[in-house]
Amino acid sequence: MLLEISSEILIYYLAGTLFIFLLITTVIIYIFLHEKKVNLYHRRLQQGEINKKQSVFAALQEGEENERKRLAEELHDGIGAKLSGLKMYLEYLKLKNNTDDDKNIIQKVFGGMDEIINELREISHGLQPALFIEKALAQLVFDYIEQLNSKGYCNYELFCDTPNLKIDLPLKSHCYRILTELLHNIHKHSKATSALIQIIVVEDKLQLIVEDNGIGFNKNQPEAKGTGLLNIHNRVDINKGTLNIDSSSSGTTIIIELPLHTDA
Amino acid sequence: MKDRITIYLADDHQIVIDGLQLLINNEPDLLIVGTSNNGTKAYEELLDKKPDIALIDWRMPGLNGLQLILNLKNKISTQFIILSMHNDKRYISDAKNNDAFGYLLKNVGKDELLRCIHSVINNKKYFPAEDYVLQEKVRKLTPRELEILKLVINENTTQQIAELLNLSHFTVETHRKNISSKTNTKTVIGLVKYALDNGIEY
Repeated sequence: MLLEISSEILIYYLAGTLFIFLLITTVIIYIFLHEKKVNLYHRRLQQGEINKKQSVFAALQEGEENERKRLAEELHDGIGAKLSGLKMYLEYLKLKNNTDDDKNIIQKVFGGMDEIINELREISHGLQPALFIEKALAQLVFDYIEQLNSKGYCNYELFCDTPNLKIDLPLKSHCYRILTELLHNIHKHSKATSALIQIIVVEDKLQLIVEDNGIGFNKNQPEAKGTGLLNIHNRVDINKGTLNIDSSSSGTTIIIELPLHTDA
Repeated sequence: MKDRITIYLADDHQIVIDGLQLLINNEPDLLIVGTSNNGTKAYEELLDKKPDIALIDWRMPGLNGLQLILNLKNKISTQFIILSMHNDKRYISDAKNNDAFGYLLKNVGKDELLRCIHSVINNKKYFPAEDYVLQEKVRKLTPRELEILKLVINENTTQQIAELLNLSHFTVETHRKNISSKTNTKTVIGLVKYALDNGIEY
């Protein structure tokens, strides 16, 4: 009898324990699942935020690219043409019989005019090179380094395996702006005497490699995080690419990989 | 009356036309027979005046320079010289392919202007020297890659190469991958063979 009662209690006891155990497990599982859901929600929200930021940046870039084109054309084809016309006036004056004093002055104005026209061409080219849409990326970069090479501080060389590679205009713009920004940094800060740019296709990725033998920089230092590098980071992010900076006192290697075909 | 070379000028910048006129008017053998600031007017006047030479702007309202040539080349025997602000190879070859007989940059001096006109009147095409051609360094190893290739052949590991050249592991690894893909090799033996075939001393 006593045994029966105690075994009954035991059963109740066991059942109770089991019940409490199940209850706790359920609660834990519930909390766990809920947490997961909240996390997922947050992640989605964050991803949405990033996507939104990226699309805003992409739109801004597109607008900027259009504006650069307009300005470049106006400067070069408008003001440049007018200055060229004025230069002809001066040449006419130069050919007339003048006193030596006048000749000197005219020669000075003539030379100054030439300088202005050349500077205008450089500025316009910097805003957006002529035939930006028509030309292949490698050709555009080649034109740019020719310009840098003519300045003579550092020898720039371009290697590419597919000089006529056809890529979408937005990707081409991003690559061009990334490369010119990097080359500009080399020109301005690196003290390098030689630099090498590679534009190569590796599997389904476009690889941009820029190497120089300059003094390098610390990528964690505030000045290295200037807008130039930040802009490059943004451009790489929009294209879902990767950026690797390897810098030491004997030079810098920057390797950028951008997928050629992004499925959104 | 036809002992002077007749010339027509079209440019949407009046300053350019005035400048050209100043330079050309002094020349006894050249005669300007008309000018215009847009392609449509230029088309009508060229049809009417049939000059020996037309100096026409690339970019004009109405018809642009190339369209003007296209529309007139079978109707009159005028030779066309394109005026442009661009010395880019692509523009120059575009003008060539569209039956322009000459190409002049707007900021040229009088000497070159006259040289161009006389060349064209003597039936010789006149185009600026094309500045450069993009060299194709296809599948060629860069100096850095050659350096790494030699170190690989001499049995250095990626880590050793990274230390020797003061580069990161990732950089050396990327170079090694690219060397393999450029030389179409998979193993060190393949690299040795490539070096031998291409006369690379290691």
